[in-house]
Amino acid sequence: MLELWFREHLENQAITDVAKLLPKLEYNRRVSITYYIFCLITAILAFCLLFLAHVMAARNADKERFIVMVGILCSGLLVLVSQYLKRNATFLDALLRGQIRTSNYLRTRTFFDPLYYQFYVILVVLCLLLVLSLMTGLSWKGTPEIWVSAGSEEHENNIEAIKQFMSFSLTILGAQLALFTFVFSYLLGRYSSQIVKSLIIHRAVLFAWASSIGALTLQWVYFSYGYPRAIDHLITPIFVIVTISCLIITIWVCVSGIDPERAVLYAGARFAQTVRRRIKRSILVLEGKPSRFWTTFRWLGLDWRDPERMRLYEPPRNGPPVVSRYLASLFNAANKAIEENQQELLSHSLMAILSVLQGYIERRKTYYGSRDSVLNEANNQMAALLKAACNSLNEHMATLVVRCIGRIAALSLQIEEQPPMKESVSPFGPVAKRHALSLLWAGLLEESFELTHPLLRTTAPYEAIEQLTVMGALCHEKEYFDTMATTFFSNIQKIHAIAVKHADAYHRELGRKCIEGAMSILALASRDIRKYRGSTYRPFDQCLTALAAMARGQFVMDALPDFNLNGCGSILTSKSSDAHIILQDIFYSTLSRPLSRDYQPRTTINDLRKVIRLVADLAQVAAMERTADNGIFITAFYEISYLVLRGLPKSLENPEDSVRSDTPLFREYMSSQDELDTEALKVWRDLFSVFFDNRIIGWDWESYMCAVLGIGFANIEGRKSDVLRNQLLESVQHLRQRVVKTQSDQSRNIDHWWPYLQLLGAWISGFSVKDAALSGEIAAEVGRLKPFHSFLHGYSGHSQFEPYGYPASHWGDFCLPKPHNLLPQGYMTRDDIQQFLKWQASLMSSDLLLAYHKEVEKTRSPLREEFYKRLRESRAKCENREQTEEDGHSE
Amino acid sequence: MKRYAKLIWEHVARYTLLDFLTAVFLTGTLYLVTKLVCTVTRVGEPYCYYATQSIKLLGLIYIASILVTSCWAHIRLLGQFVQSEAKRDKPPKNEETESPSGATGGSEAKC
Repeated sequence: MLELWFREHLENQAITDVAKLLPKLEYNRRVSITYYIFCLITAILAFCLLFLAHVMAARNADKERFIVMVGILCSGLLVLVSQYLKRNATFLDALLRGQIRTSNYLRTRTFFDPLYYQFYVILVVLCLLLVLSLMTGLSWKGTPEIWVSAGSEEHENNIEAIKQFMSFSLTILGAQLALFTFVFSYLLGRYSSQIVKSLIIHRAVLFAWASSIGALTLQWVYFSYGYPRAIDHLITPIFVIVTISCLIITIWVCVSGIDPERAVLYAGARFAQTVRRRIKRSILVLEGKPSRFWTTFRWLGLDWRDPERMRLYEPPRNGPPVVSRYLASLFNAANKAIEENQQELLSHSLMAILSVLQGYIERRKTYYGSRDSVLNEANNQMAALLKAACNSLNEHMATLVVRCIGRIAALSLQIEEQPPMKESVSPFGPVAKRHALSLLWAGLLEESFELTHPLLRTTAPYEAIEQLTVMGALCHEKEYFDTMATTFFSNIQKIHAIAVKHADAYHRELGRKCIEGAMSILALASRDIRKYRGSTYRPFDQCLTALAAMARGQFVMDALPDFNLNGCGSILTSKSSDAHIILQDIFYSTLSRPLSRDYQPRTTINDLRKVIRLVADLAQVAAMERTADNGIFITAFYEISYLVLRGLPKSLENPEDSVRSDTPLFREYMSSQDELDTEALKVWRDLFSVFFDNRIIGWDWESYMCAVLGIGFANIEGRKSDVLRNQLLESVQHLRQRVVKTQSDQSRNIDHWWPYLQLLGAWISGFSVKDAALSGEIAAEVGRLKPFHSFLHGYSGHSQFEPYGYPASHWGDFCLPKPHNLLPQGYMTRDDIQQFLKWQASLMSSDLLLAYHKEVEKTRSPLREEFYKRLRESRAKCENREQTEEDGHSE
Repeated sequence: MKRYAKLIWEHVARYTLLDFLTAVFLTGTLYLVTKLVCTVTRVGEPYCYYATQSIKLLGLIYIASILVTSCWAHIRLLGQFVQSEAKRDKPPKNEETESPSGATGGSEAKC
């Protein structure tokens, strides 16, 4: 199982690494292509220059040498400059950018328009016909030198060919009418007549018709009245080219247009364009003055601006009906696609719907308002579509619909309720930004989850959570903090509660996804330094509360004996890949959050305390619930404690901002560092109590807990803090009392704690804490109370200090565990690592440990002698008794 | 000398060879395409002659420009090489007196 888990995470990491590398490889490939295209174009240009020079030189015999020399010079210069530029990175970058821009543009256009290239080909044919028309018009019935009249000998020679071309063009025109109209309506009419219409009036189709009609008209004119003399010998080749081109393009258009998916997509793009044209941007009369142009026109009494565009809180009246009509036709296509089980068509229909709504929202967002009839209707239609998709045999369709709902939800967030106000109009201060429109969509996403989670072959529930998370992140970005609380947090918690009710692996994963979503929002909130103007909820606090509630629910699933390394503890605290956000990341990002006028050190310190408290609470609950991975929270606590105890950034140390200690006798200022040290070690004592009392076994949590104190002891030299010293001593006292009391009660076996207590005693005696009394007491207690014989004892043989009564871990002496969740993230610099290793060496210094061992032995040695003496005597007695009994039997 | 030869190969000769191959490929392709067009379309003299002459001239221009650019790169490299050699010949400075903070390459090497 472990192997599978690690393999999965290794694979995830490999995928992430390759994904990071791929853009670089793609960039190199594109640079190479651009480089060679540039070389080719330069060579062709230089060749053309030389060729032209040769041709011109031949026509001007007197300047032959001069022209050739100029040609050589120009092409030489071109080649030389190209040789220089092709190694110039800046030039190649600029060229590459241009190439990428062009290819992206072409890709987008061809994606949405199935007849994009056909249009440009037919345009060339039409241009040829226009040139012919122009020539005909200019030389219309002119002198015989420029015009060949009807009935003349030359005209008679061409008349048969023109007749044939006329019948050919007529046939093509008929074919176009039949193909374009009937084929398109037959294939697409069942989805929507609007879609058919949009394709029939495509510019390529119209131009194809225009070319055929133009060719026919010109042929009739040439047949009836004659033609310009300039094209006397070219009539046949020109009309061959034109008619053949028309024929080819007709077939090409038909072949491309019979693809219903692309036709629907094109219809969506076309509808969006129409919507953009029909709905004008708001003039925003309330913001600023009209332009000089309109000021002048107003003065002249010519203020012809459309009053519809001056509505502030709703779009122009003529807009929504148009959009609704278009949406209705696309929803028809989508419903039909679900009915016919056509996944591709559904996907394209949804894309088309998105295109229309995007076009609408681009304009609508300039008007503000909390109501919108188009979005309301779209919401209802999407709900119906979702139900239809859920009933379909192809369950993947539901995923597509849910994704589309999420995208529309994100789009709807662009429409603001009120224009931005520089000054607060409310006497109660700033008013929070709200967004009623998004509630509809968040609700629909939640409904999507409810509908789709019982399905068997779909990823729609994951998609619903993903889209809800994106929506939450967007709400956060756009400062809809209250909306975020009512849409994201309430819905994600509801979804999580549904998932938790079903105790199976699939729903556990869904619950995990919910927690990951909340973590990603928390990561955004932890770096945020904006002022929460007037909002009731603070995202950071909201995230922590939601996370705590969800994690507690998830613990029910992770309870023993259901051992699962993908449990809640692992999600929250153990990094599986770079993209996986854990609580340690949140702590570090809060710690390194930049300060601003609105964000003083006090706020950051309070937030850090909240994260520590969250980890502690979750660890305690996990211990009490006896979840399989409860010890992993201790690892997280150790790593967070390391970040605290190594020292906070200097920016957080603000004497003016420090708080007074609550103790009335010591009314002193407590620095931020001391405050967090106190918090961390207070949590340490709470955690120790809970884990100790609940007899938690495994995860080597004892070692991690001692390591927290070890970091404190090792760093106390540099810190010189009385608060830290007192807290450390209090923590050791706490541990000592628990261990001694339990040993005295004989309530359970705690033999493995004595080595740790001895180690703590050694640290107290060795580091600048120097509480000789406590150290001596611990030495005496270890010497006196530590059992001389235990089933837990027995040396591994791999450690140096284990025979002297010190703890061993991981087949060696005790050491500060490597903070493996902090190292790959770069939270520990090279200096930090050096310092960590130095601490490790000082904590396990042989001088310190052996000296303390001698002190322990002062008490322990005579007791041991006595113990073994008694043991030997009792054995001897036993042996004597057995001997006597044997003798008795033999007699 | 060996170091210099390696530098020349890495920074000049490799690119010169690449440029030369590219030029051969480009002019060769143009020549073949011209011949093909002349044969297929039956465009007679003098246009085919002009095209062939232009390609020959283009080849010469490419060779000249490659020579110029590679000579220029060679001269620049030689200058840099002479400077770096002069720096190498100077006696090394005492690192401890240079950086009392210990944040030098020497201290990093210990790490």
